[in-house]
Amino acid sequence: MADIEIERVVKRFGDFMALKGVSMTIPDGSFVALVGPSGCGKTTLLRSICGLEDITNGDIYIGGERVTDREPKDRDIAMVFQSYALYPHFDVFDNMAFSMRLAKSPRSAMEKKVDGASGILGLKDFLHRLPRQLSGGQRQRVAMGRAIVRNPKVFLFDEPLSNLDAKLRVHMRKEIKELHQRLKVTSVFVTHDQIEAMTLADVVVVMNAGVVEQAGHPLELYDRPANPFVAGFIGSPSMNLLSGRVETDGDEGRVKLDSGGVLPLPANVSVEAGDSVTYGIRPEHLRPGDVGGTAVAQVSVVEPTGFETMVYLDLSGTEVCMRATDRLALAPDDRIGLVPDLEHVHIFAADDGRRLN
Amino acid sequence: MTDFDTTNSPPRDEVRAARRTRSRELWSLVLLSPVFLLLTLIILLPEIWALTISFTNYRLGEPVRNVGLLNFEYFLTDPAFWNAVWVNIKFVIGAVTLQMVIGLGISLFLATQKFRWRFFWIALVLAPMAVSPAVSSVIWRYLLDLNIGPVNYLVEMMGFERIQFLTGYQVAIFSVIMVEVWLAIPHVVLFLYPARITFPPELYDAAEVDGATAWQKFRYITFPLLRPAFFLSLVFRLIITIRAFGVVWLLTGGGPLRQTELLAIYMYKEGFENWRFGSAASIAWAMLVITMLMASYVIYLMYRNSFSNVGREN
Repeated sequence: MADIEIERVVKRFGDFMALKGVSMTIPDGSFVALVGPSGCGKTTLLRSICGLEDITNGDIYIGGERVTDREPKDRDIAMVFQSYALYPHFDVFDNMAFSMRLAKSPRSAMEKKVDGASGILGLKDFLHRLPRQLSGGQRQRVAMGRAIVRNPKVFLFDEPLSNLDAKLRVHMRKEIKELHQRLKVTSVFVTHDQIEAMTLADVVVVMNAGVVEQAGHPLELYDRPANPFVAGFIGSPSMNLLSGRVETDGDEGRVKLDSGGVLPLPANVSVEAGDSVTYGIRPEHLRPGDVGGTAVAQVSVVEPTGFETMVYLDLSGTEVCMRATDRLALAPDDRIGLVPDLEHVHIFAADDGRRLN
Repeated sequence: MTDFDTTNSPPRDEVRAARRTRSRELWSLVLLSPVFLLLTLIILLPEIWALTISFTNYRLGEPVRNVGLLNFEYFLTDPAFWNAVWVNIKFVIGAVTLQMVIGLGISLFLATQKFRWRFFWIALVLAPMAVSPAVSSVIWRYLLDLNIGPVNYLVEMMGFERIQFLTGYQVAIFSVIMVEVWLAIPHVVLFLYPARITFPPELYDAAEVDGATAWQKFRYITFPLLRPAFFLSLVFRLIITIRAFGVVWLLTGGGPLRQTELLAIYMYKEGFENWRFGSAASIAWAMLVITMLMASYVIYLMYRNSFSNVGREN
């Protein structure tokens, strides 16, 4: 059991800076998801924690011990790789016992450990099969078994579910979560799938271009994104982000959108008239209003899915998405007004993207 | 015109389907026949011809007479034959071992190290293959020459005595082995380098996390996975090296004092210096049998050890 301390970690590949001074603390026993678009540095950070990547600057501590200069095997970690990285010429038993074999553990100890791990993962009947004789989900379990056998302080997962089909992915997601609840080992999980991150993790860390944009509880990120990047990244379909300028009309503030139309400003926003802002509103927090409203859009596509209806609208050239759980009688080319739920409006400064409410 | 539609439809009954299968098989045989014909003409017939004359006293200008196993008895009791066998064993063990070890080393180096102009270096390693063995033998004979060779010039410059690379009693065998190795390395690299670059790098990351040292990664991962390619390359090199002739013939002609007289050179002399074709043919057959036995054994090992438990996919 151990917490992970990451202090101002910098990683350069030649001229390219993959990590620009990342700091975070991962509490003991927690499940942290690193999420972000391709090339944001999440895998580099994971490999740096693992020790497979030498960092250019900064320090990494696991369980209070500085591991920055240690070999991966001396960091007391285990990693599950995207392609599982099972040794194709070893059977399941040998794959799981390889680290112990290298450490010259006695056969009886290997059997005991492998037996325990394979029991947890339901692999007991497959111990003498080769990886190629297993299904994708079973290979995934062997990869986790190999990690469990090492009995590490920290589990590292590098997009372990992205090679599975959609159905199996949901299933394995649940298994990983159950495994964590059972073993309570500090886990770091890299994914580009925000649903995976939200469902699995206690803490989600959103990364972009080598920096941490925001870290927090999944719902906190959803409810109060710190900047437009997190706002657009978390949630599917993504938040509508409309640029505009603040106007005042008596006591009431409102935002005149660049694309045309005016939307009301919620209370307690620290802005002044004339400020450029980004107006963020999630599709589920928009309602259709009458055509006499201040922002009127034209319906371009309607997607009924039974439980909810997704409506894509054209607001003078800007696409806006609206999601309603009641069945809307709308057809393409209809014109409707947009009514935002003021409690769920996010206002960001246009220049540096900081949250203003 | 009216039948047009039915020509593309599947056969209506089994008889028709069977007939079609048979005609297809016949057609594929027809297509393959030129290769069979060619192989028969250039391999099978000469071998049979050689086997036939190995039981005769066939030599130029004399009537052909059946002599039974006399040719075999003749060479088996000839000390020069046993000398050639011994030289051949030294040559094959020395050359093949060095080829495989150096070829493996170069392949792994090229596949795993980061350096500039990778493809240039690969091309450079493969270059000896592009040169005709006869030409490279002549070049090497010049390079290693006692009096005018640049290698001996360097040796002298470094303050040593000139070395009789190709004429020294003890040295010549090492020289011909070195040249043979130099020529064969590209062939080994051509087998092993492409195999090595297909291994996923994550496998080595996983091994690193599991605590494997560089040697353990080679011992437990690289070599077992490379084994099919390694054995295949080994079979080829064994077959080619056992029959080696041209390079050594051009470098030393089998000398000095038969120190580099390989079986093939012994056979060549028997046939084209002593003009005893019957005897030469019997030696050729003996070589064929030895080569086949060795190659079969290695192929047996290869199938037993490699293909039974090494998968290609991850």
